[in-house]
Amino acid sequence: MARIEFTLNREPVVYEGDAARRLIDVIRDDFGLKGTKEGCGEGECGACSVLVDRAVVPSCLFPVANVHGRHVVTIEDFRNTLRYRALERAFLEEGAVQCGFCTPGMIIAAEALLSKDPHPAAEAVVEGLAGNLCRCTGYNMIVRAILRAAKDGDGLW
Amino acid sequence: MVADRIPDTKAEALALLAAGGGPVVSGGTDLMVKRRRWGGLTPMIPDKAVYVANIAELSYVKKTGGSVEIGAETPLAVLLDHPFTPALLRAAIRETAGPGIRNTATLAGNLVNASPAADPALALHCLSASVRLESARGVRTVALSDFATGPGRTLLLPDELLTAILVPADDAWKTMFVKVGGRKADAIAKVSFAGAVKLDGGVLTAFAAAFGAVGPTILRSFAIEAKVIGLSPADVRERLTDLSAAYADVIRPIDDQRSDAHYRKTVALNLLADFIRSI
Repeated sequence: MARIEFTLNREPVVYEGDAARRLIDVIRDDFGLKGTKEGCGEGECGACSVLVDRAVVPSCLFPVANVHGRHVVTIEDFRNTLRYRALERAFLEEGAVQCGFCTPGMIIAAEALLSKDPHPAAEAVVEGLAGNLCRCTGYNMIVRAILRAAKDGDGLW
Repeated sequence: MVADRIPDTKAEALALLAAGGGPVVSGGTDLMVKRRRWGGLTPMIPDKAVYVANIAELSYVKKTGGSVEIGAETPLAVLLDHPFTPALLRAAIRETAGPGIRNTATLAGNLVNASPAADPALALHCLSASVRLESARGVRTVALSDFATGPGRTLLLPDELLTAILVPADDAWKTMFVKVGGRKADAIAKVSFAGAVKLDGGVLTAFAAAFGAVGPTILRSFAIEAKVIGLSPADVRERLTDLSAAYADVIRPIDDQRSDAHYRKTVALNLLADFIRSI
């Protein structure tokens, strides 16, 4: 039994339980945050992406022990930001959402990318999304949406 | 320190290992898949595991003398952007996984996982890197060529922690890294190759060729490499057929779900030929 203190969506939280549990299970089952999706469960698809200290990570590969003292942000908190609004609008306008299962992970990966590189070239967007799979859109709409968000949301990142 | 198992310092980690703690969990990106269970059950990682990813003093890159020293818990993403990262290692990390995994995976994990298909480990082998292993009993340094003894098996003892990777600086080296995989990101190599050569006065003063996913461990033949030292690039190119035959004797891949032995051997030798022609 481990006692792990971390910040979840700007709130200090305490987790008591097995240190080896996957962060995705803790987020979804213990804290009821279902926006983070499990796709492959082995780091191939990126649907489970969350931000840990502003960096995108696959929460299905992340032992909860490793979030001790760190700040986890999930889609539920990120959606309250102006950056999210810019990404949401761009995703809708470019048709970047079809079934929607990959979308929370795509948005989190896009936030991580744009916070490092606010004006990315198309190649940088493709590289930034390399760990996220989408089986509907063929990626072009998602790449266009992120380029549009960077342009329309200029100054937010 | 939390619940005895998430140390903040190296000294605390070594004390936990000395007291019988372990295994060591680093970024978790390999272990959490290997020990995975279905239906939301906790991965099969023992209660006495020691989680070292948050030990700040093990995350650094510095130059010491002629080499670069990398703290074992430095995330791959940090190394990708760091000015001291040797060029060949940077090329390998660029081909490793995707941004998310690179933010949490570490060199220590990549080396202790001891997969013959690992990308950063291949570059480090080619650069003749060594690893520092520490325990409450003391410190030892082991050459990477000796460290891995088989898939998932290394010389690391249960009470030891891999704390640093020492890489001879590769500024003067001409290098090549090629990974052949099923997908651009997040793929495990079907076969991979790293080459490094140093030229001085028109002759090769150093030559290293490392092959990934063609045997139980990453492959380097010091005997074949020695035959090339002292030759001019033109001489080496002329001996390509002999060199290729020599490597064909030691490259013994297997068939598995990612590729088959025939393909692996053919591609490995073609990559060697590409490298030699590029010198």
